[in-house]
Amino acid sequence: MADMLNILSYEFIQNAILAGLLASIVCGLIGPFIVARQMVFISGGLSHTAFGGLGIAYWMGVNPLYGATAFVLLSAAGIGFLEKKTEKSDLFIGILWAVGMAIGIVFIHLTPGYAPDLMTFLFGNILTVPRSDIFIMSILVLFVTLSVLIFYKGLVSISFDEEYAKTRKLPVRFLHIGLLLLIGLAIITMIQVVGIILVIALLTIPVAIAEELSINFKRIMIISILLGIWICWSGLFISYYIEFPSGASIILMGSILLCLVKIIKKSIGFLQHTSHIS
Amino acid sequence: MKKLIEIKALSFGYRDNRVLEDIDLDISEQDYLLVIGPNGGGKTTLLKLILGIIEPWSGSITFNKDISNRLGYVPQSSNFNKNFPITVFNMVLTGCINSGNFLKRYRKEDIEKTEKILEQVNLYDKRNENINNLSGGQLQRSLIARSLVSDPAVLLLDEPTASIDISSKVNLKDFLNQLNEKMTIVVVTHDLTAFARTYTHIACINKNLYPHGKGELNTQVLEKVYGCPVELLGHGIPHTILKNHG
Repeated sequence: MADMLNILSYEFIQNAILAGLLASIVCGLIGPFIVARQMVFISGGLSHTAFGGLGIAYWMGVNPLYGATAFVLLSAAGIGFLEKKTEKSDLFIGILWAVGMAIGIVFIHLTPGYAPDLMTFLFGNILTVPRSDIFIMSILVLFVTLSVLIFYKGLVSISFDEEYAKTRKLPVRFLHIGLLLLIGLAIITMIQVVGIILVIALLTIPVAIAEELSINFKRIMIISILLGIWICWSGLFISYYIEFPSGASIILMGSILLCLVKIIKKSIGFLQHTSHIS
Repeated sequence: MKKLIEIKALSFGYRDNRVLEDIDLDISEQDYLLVIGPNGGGKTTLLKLILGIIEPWSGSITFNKDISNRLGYVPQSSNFNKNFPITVFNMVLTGCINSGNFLKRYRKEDIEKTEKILEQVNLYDKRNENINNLSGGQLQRSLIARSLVSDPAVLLLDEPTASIDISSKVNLKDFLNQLNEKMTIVVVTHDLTAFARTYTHIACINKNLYPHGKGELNTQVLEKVYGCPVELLGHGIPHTILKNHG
């Protein structure tokens, strides 16, 4: 216990705990919409375009998070506007995914010296999130939270039945593009915690578990946030104590929890079924 | 009867493919209109144009000023996200949302109205269940309930009998008859038998529209619409059995 309290006095651990908390809030607020609207591929594409912005920002010598934010938001808006004009939107997203990564690689190559920070952005390292980035993450989380609260009814409406929402004269396109931008901001918030490559897992695994536990969308959001916190913090301490990569530890903790919940639920269902027969 | 919707010279298509051409149709108060026709004939497209989901290439749809915001829509059960985690109550409640209130919280009246309509469609006991757990007939009633909470003057239903059993079809027919006392009903369907003796008008549609009153439907009319031989079975119910599709 004393050891634990001692650990909590380190600033980098405090930052990591806060980063995990902030990442969990956005993953719980946005993840359920991504799963419901089947936007996992779009979200994967958006997170990978971030690498282009990171590379350019690194080459320019500014905070890579700023470059990633600009790239992700532009890509989100681009996907939102082009989706209606072309029926091949997944082709466009796939191209954006690869081009974003390619731009990032080229600009890292152009930057003199080794770029160790960029590995953090690719695979995440919750133990190295600086206090300045916690501040940026807090602002993003505040913005995402307020947006979801304000537009909740409209977002639920388009996620359940977009056509019906159109008949009720809701601004469906505005809400869809808004959701894409919020997904972009959620990705930026989580990049340092689990990395570009694993971001999509943190957006979906807590939701997949929560959907096993509730049929109420609001409760799924709350459960996803709580699960996200547990997954991030347990991954953080595993990473600290046994020196595993933190991003991967977090995702593996989530995956193990998902498997456990599925097995327990199936077992309960099987036992109920057999007792019903007998 | 007061004219509620007036469609004039309406045309629409997808890309270069014209689906509807020069459609004229009037829908009045208390009408019970069946829209029938072959697959790809433009039935659902006409519904979507009336609802404003898509914009026409040319022509116009004019609404009586009393009903412009009072169209209720019951989609095919395959059109929405069935995996969405939502209870029957919350799904029906979404029918209260419109462009003027989607940023506000639900009012107490919305919640009371939803409870009342769930009782009316015999789904109050199912209100806390996931929509996934409903049978085809129950799901259909919950979709009708969602459109009724917005107090529509015209109720438009797209293939409402597509995935329900015979007893549910009978219940649906009776329920729509009751509703027709208070509102206009427009049903797009393949299933003429389910609505036999209930409708006041039929519109046959296959790119062009052929409006008919009750009892005017015969083999020649249907063959013209479907473009192939059609057989009408007896007992007063016009079945559309296609002899061959060649």
